[in-house]
Amino acid sequence: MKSLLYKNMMQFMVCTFVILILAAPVFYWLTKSFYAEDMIDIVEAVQHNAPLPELDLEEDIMQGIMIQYLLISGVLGIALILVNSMIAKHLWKPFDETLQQIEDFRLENGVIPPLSESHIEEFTRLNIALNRLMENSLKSYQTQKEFAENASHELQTPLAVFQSKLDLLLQQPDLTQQHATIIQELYNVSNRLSRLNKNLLLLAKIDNKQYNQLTFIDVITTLEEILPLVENITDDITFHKEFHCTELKVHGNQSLLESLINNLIINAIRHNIPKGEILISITPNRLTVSNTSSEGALDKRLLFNRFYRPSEKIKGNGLGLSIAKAICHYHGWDIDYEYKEGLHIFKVDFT
Amino acid sequence: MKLLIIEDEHELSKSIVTYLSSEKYLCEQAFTFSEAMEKIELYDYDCILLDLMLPGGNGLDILREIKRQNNPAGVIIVSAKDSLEDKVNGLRTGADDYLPKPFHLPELSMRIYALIRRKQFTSANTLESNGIRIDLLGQSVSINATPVALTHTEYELLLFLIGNKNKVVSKSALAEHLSGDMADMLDSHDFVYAHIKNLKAKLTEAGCRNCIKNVYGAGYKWIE
Repeated sequence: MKSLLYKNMMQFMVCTFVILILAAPVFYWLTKSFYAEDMIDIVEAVQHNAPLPELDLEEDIMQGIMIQYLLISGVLGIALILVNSMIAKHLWKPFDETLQQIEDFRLENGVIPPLSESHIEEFTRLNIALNRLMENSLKSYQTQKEFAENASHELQTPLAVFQSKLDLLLQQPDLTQQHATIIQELYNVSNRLSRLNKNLLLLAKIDNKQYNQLTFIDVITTLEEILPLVENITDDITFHKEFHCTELKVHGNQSLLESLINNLIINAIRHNIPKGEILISITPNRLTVSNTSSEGALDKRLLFNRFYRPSEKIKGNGLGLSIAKAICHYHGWDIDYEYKEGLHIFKVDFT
Repeated sequence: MKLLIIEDEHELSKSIVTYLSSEKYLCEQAFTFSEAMEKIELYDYDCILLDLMLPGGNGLDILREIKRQNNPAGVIIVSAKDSLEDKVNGLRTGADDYLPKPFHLPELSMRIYALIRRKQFTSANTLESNGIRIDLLGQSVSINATPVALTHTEYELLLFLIGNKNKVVSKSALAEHLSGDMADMLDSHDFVYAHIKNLKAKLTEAGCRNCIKNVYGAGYKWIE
């Protein structure tokens, strides 16, 4: 294996040598017809016993020097141009190939591109270093993804212990009002914790592409299953349904579609006003959930971010809409938000 | 009724035993894979609670062994994994029920109760408590032979409370039992109060007073 400098020098020297040999006839002709002409004249005059011709030595010397300079720099110049264009094409080819492959490298795809072999030391070193770099990034990316999932899983058991102890505490015969209040507060915390954990786990699993069982599901059927449950837990909010088609079949994962609809509806309930309204409408390829609210228009760019809360009122854990977004992104669906005439409108386009 | 609790988390196992022991269940515990295998070889149980991730092995292998033995015990999987695939996988291997962690003890108790009832073919499909008669197949309720019209939610509530009789059932356990993930996503469980109120009114009207006791607003108790 040779270094880049060595290869470069070798090619330059060989090139210069070849050009010098090729240029020899030109040298000969130039020497003969310009600055060696007086010498030839003298030699001819001596041979023919003719009088010596007029000589201009000074001029010839100057011309000779100039011609030599020009020729040598010409040869070197041509050699340089040739070698450089060759370097760009040949010598740097492996570098170009490597560059192209790492330009296409995506961490999410999890595939390390095979880098082509090279006879040049520096490029081989570069490829080895790049391979190691990509492998390490991929490994830490994978570990990070798995960590989120494992951590959430591991948290489920202590949460179960916590909740079970609360259930036992509630059975104490000498329970007082104060105890009950504290236990109720702990229940609320425990609920928030387990909900947060479930949501994080869901996000991690979407990131890890674990919902790969895709079927054709009807959005309307799914909605009709969810709505009675929802109406059960909200007493003063009116639901309006506007279905402009009898079915809306989409290709996706059943659990995720349910989760998407759950999250959109829960969001509409959570940020609603007392005696408010929720409008759920279905048109070909689109699901729209709109709700009344005391809050004004929200920032579309931040709305779907994880843990984004527009107001200081603590409602939800700030993951609902980012889950909805992640689910849409996972299926290649479009989710959009709009504020119109006092209504917060969330649209999902199943395209 | 004999129960085997296969769960490696000692504290959780202890809680389950404490809660269930007062309900005429005889509970035994296994904390590792080998301990569990040994117990199912040696003894008969009516119901087995099975955690999937155990030190020394996978809970599903224990389930396969139970099925291979033609062991009549009902199996409820209690697992930290809650995805649809895990559930389907567990049920396909032969489990009777699947309860993801974290769960409420009243919910677990209710599932065990339902499972044992299903397994005992001789048991009648009616349930009686404080003069209330519940027809489990027809899902109808009557007090002193007079039918009481309950909504589906109220019926579920009543069954859940009676299934955990003389125990305080927390509002969040009730909420989760009634609407699963939905209740889980809401911050307040006030809707439980509204349904309990309606149920109480209907029962009182039909002549069954003071069966449901409100325990300082934190939970409810069916007094028998």
